[in-house]
Amino acid sequence: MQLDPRAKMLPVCLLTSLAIIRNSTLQLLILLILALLLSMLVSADLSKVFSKLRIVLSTFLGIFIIQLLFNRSGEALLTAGNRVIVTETGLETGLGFILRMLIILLCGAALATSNSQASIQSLIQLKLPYTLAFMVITAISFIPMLAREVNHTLIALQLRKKKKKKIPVRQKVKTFTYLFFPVIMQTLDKAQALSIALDLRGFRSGFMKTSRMKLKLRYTDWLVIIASSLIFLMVLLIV
Amino acid sequence: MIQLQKVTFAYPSQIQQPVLRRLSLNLRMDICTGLTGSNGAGKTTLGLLMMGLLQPVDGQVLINGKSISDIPLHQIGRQIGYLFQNPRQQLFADTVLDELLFPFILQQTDSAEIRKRADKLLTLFQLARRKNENPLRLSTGEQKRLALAALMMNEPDFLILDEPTNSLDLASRRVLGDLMTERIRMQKGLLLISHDQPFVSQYCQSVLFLDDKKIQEVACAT
Ligand SMILES: Nc1ncnc2c1ncn2[C@@H]1O[C@H](COP(=O)(O)OP(=O)(O)OP(=O)(O)O)[C@@H](O)[C@H]1O
Ligand SMILES: [Mg+2]
Repeated sequence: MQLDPRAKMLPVCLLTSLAIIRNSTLQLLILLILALLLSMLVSADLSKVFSKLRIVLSTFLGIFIIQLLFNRSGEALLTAGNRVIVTETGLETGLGFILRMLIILLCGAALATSNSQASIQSLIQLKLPYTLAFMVITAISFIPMLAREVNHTLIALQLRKKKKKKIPVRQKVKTFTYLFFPVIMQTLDKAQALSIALDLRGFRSGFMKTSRMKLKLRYTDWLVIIASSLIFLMVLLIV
Repeated sequence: MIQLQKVTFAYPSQIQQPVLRRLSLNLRMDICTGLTGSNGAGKTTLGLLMMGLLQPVDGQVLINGKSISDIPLHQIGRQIGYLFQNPRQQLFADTVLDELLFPFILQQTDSAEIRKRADKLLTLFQLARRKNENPLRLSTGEQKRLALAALMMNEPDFLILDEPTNSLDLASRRVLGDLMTERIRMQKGLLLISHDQPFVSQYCQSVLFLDDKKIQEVACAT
């Protein structure tokens, strides 16, 4: 089915944010089914997406196995003699990770069925300023990459901490900011390059409405706005 | 007429070493002018200054008597077509055809006439077969042709082409040459930044040589 990009964005936003907030395997499973339904609804080419992302998927599987074998907390599920092989928490975190990643991938595939121009156009028709529309679209294209990186780093941190199960919030926020800033800068750069290319072709993108001299200020303005809301969001989700 | 008045420009990272120093130049917009000079002489920088994509540290750039800093970029874009030395910098669409149409679709000025123009340009630049291809998957030469076709969509009064013949094959060079001859006939000029001596001397009515932060007019053919 041909869905308007606007109609896709809402379920995608809901599904991905729920997938990050929720922890229980059952809830994640339900979300996964919903994501699957969504991607089927918009007739996303799943076999193509998954064959393209084979390496990523095998990394996910590797991380799942690591979680499974190295997480020592919780009750034992599988033992060989005296040795515990798989614990309840290990299975739960491993499954949680894989389910989350699948949900995000499926949502990405659903969004990818409309091209970036259609998305920009739809946002503009929502009366969003061009500048913002460019940013949203370029940012969306970074989401899968970002999700992957954040997860890898968090898992690396988790594996290092043997005793305490939880990572202190401060550490988490620090990790996120390390990862976010390059991504924000890249998003801004890409959005700006796109709008300049469009302006050069006679389209008024609004990125530099008054004077190009003032670009610096607007740039940092946006940076602060986006970074602070992202960090705020992250803190909200972690705590 | 594009005028540079005592323009000094330095990149922020090397503010002590200006690329151009107090450069003055009057560029006619009805003829074809070549611009040559060694690597790193500042040709690309000069082109970007004329387009308003860089701001001079000192002095000013005027287009038809109006200071370029007072003209919004999209208006300059409608008047002057700019081909980047690296065409990837200006391609943004998902398909070759969209690359030509997208600004018009966004502006809702897309029409049957526009589509016909796009088809004609794609045929002229031998890209018609690749209409639905992703521009980033084209070869370098094809990307250059696509960027050229895209900026011809606006039917600009003036063109600034940075190394247009680089990585073009003989047939494409001829297409570009014919296009230039046609434009000269209509008195729509261009600035051709190029190391391609034979091409420059064949098509340009005037040649500028940029070196050591100074500019010299070296030849004036017909
Ligand atoms: N973004 C930048 N930041 C700092 N310095 C730059 C930047 N771009 C160019 N330069 C420097 O400015 C000088 C002029 O560069 P420019 O690209 O204008 O040369 P050019 O004449 O176009 O050379 P070419 O023939 O290789 O295309 C060079 O010394 C280059 O190192
Ligand atoms: Mg150059």
